[in-house]
Amino acid sequence: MAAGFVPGYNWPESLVILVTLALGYTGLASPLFGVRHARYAAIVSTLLSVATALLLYQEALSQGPIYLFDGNMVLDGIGALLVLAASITMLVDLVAAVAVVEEWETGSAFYAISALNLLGVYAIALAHSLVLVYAAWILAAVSSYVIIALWKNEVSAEAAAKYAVMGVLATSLLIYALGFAAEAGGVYLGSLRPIDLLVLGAATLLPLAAIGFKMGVVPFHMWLPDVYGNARPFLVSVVASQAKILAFAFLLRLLYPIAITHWGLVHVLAGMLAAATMTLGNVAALAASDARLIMAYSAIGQAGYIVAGLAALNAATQEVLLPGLLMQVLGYALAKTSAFLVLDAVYQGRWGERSIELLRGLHYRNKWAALALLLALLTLLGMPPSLGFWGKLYILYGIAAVDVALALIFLVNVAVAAYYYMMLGWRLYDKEVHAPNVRTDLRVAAALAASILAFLLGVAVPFFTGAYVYATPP
Amino acid sequence: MAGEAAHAIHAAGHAPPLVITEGGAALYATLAWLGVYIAAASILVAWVLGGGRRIAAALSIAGLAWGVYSAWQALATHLATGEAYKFVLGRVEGLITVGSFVDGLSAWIGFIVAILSLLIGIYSYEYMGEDGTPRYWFFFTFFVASMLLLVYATDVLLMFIGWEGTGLASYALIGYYFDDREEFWVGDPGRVRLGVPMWFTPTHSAIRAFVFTGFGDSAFLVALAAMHNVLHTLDFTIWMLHPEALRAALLSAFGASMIPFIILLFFMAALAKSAQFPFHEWLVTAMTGPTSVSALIHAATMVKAGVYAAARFAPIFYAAFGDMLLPLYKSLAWLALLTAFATATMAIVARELKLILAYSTASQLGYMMSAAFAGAAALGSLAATAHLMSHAVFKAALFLIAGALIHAAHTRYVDEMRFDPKTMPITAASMVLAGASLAGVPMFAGFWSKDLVIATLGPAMRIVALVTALLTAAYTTRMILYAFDLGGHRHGHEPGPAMLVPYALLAAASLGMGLAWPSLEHALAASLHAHPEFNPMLALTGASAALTGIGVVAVLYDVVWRGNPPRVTGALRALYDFLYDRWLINPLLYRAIVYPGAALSRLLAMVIEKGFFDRVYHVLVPRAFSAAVEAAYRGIEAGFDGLYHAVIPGFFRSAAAALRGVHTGDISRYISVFIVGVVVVALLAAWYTLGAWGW
Repeated sequence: MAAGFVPGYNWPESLVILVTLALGYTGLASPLFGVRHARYAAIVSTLLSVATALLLYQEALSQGPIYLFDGNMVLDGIGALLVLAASITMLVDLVAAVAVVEEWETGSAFYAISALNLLGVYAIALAHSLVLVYAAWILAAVSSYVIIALWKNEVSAEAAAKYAVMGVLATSLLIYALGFAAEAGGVYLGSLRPIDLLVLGAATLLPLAAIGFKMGVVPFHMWLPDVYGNARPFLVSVVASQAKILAFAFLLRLLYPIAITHWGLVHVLAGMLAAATMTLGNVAALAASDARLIMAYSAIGQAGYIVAGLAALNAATQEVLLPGLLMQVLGYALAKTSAFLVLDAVYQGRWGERSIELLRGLHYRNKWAALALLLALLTLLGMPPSLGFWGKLYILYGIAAVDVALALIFLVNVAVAAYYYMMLGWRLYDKEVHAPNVRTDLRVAAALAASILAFLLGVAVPFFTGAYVYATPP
Repeated sequence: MAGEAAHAIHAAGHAPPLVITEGGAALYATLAWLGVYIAAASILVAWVLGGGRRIAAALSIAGLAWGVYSAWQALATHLATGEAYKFVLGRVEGLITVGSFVDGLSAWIGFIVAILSLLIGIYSYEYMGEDGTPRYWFFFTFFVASMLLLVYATDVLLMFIGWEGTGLASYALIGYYFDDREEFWVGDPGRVRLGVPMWFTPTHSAIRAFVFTGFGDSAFLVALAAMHNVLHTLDFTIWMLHPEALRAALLSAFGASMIPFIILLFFMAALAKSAQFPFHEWLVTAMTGPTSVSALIHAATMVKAGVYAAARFAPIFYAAFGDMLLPLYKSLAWLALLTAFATATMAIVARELKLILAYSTASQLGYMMSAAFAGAAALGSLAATAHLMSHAVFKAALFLIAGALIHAAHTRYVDEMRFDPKTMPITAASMVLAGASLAGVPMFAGFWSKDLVIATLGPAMRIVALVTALLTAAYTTRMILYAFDLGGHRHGHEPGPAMLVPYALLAAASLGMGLAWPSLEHALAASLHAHPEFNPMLALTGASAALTGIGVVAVLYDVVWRGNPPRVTGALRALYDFLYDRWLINPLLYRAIVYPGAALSRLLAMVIEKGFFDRVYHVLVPRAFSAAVEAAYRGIEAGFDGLYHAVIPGFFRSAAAALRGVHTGDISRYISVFIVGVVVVALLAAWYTLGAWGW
């Protein structure tokens, strides 16, 4: 391994150190120098993170899995791609933030917290020890509560409080989960000793509950409609996308060793949760009458797709499922970010209105906003050539290979979801206009960029096929 | 006759062996067509972006000027060294070589094309005025680019692409006035012969041109496919360098008896494009396009593509197959002379100014083709090219003048014009100069080049050519006398400088080229490696024929008839009508091919389309389906309707409402659901675990 630019560390380690310093500076020191400084520090360190992620991915592809920092971290294909996905999505939000948070007195805090959140992604995406998993959780969990609470508004504050209370419960479960995991495989991830199946079952279930809470897995999802439906959509756009990427990374790192050796356990537990999550999310979305709420339930439905993919993950299917899950997560993150950004622009100043009619005829008020939302909806729906299409296709392919019943539930849910996505999409272009005037600001521009990316990155499927896990390099 | 052609070829046998240099002039040639194509593309872009006619015209003329510059550089480089050049831009192995080839032939013709395009482009700006939409300028420029590609291409397939490009542009510009307004018709409205209408609208003419030339092009394409199949390359420089390989490959593949047929197919496109009998019909009615288009495409350049092809390939094939091709070449030469003679007789009686010029174009093309085929090799190429150049100059001038006259007179009939020459002195003088060149008056360019053509022909052919020369002089004189003088009191007005200068320049050039002919011919002959010999007897005979034609017509029209020729009767009337109706070729073609074809189509439509398919698709199948749908609806659909519109939506509505109902916002309830959820899933896990233990 080539020596890096930090003395005593190799090249990938040096990169990680550099990014940690940049994000750490942004998170801890930059707000001291005012909001503009924080903004630029956040954008520059996120751009640095995008570049780092690309370099790490290239390294992971050419050098195979690389153990960093005495085995506490591991660089593999999927870890690097997860970092890339989080960085790109974060970049979109940071650009959009210029049009939103800088009017608040808490503006600089947003940039700082975002950087810490991204740091959490690095910790979990590359985690190879339980200590790092816990540190990542704290960084990610706390930062997301703070983000939701940044907007000083009564409803939003209540949502943040609920989020935090439920989060405490989840955190305590995670501590148990880590205990069982340590019992099953030691402090370092990746190997299991021969152990009582009951311990292994707890080591599977507890992460599913604790982390499932974060991404909205039924029945740990109760907070989600309240938070996504009531908090400021701009802030939700950050939390919703980052939470999915983080949660997927957590589940993958904690459950992957079990899935490879005791696949049946993961399959049954995750499969049941996935079926319930997909179905509840999509059916409830049908009945929702507020666009923000529809998006909240749709987030639950999409979480179900990811858990369904995890349920089918084993040594045989991983070659298809890992790229599929990665594309699904990235497509979801970009599309959700874009959708909530557009909703933020549309509901601006009308936070109390609970109707999807505000979207009717949006095209005739602001065609870019309508286009951004339409492309986001198409990606969530799974229209070719979007990332959503390839992600769902690969996941379905993987599931169908091992569990036809789950595959059927998956398909029916995708069809149901198509209905409410298109109910929204069709309204955007209706000639009867109820939509308010929407200014084309950085928020709309960022949303459009994210949507186009989510829609067109689907043509780059081969790029994502390098998503492998260190334990089974290609 | 065959012997003479062979003699001409042997005379050219002294040409030095072909040496091809990379780049040089061919690089300029490539830049020429590429640049003009880019100009055409930018007009298209400007047009799409909403640019108007001025921007389009500016882009076009800039592109044409670039074409002139590059073509001049190509010619100058060639003249300086006397070498042939080839430049390859890219290559698809086994299919096409994209690149240019510059030797004497393509260097001279390319330059003539470029310079005339520029002059006529400038003329167009004023002539077209408000009518000069970006559509006009796009196709005009696209045409020039395709024509340059055709001339410079080193590969026959590439040349074919340019060839079709010119055909497309020609089609679009003949039908430019697609509203078919009457002022742009050709022929006398209401005149019917053999039951076939003798007048043509722009859209009709455009389709005719496309179909007539398309016929020849299809044959060309078949020949190209056959040859490519055998040779695996259509880069003709390779054929030039290795005639023996060309011969061996084609002979072994097709056999000696098929070779003339393949070569005939190859030249079919040239015959059609250059309006050889009976394809000349498309060129005659192509005059529905704007006059600037007639001047450039249907007189000076595109119709010369066939002559270029003949001058280019006849020697190549002769070098490969030798006397085997003489019967074919001889027949083609006679066909060309027939064209020359027939169209000259039509021009004698025609009344529409542009029509006279169109007949004359077909007639002069006949001269060039006869030289290219009868003369073969270098001498034939020289004569064809020389006449091509002089004709391009004086015929472009005449057409541009015709545009100005029709504009001023508001009639397309020349016998109704009769301008007072004092009111349009420059135009009148230009017409006389250019006309003198067409008539073959000594010392004018047309005289010298026609003399070169006649010199390449055998005795029998010479007689036809000389008679045609006499007719040419006669109809030219008649045309000029009708347009000007002849007791004319119509007051004309000179057009603006953008129109006037180009044709005045071209008319002056036809005299200037004539005066400078010895040195010009020398340069051209050196380029083409030909060694023409001046034949004083022949020149004298040609001059006499021209002067006789002019004299007879001048005396008849001016002195005997005093400007009003009597209406002929009896047998003369029948002859007049026969000539006026273009030998009845068009009605015969329509009667023999077009109408029977249409009748066959109608029959097929009646029997197969209406009788069978329509009945199946519009009666049988719909009835069967509607019966099936009716039955299905009664039996099945009503049930599904209830399911889809009542049961399923009802279920989802209540299920969704129930699920939403759980979300009360009460956090203690959320926590209990969370914990119960963990317990339930834990029980399920336990159940699975115990099951795995076999309990």
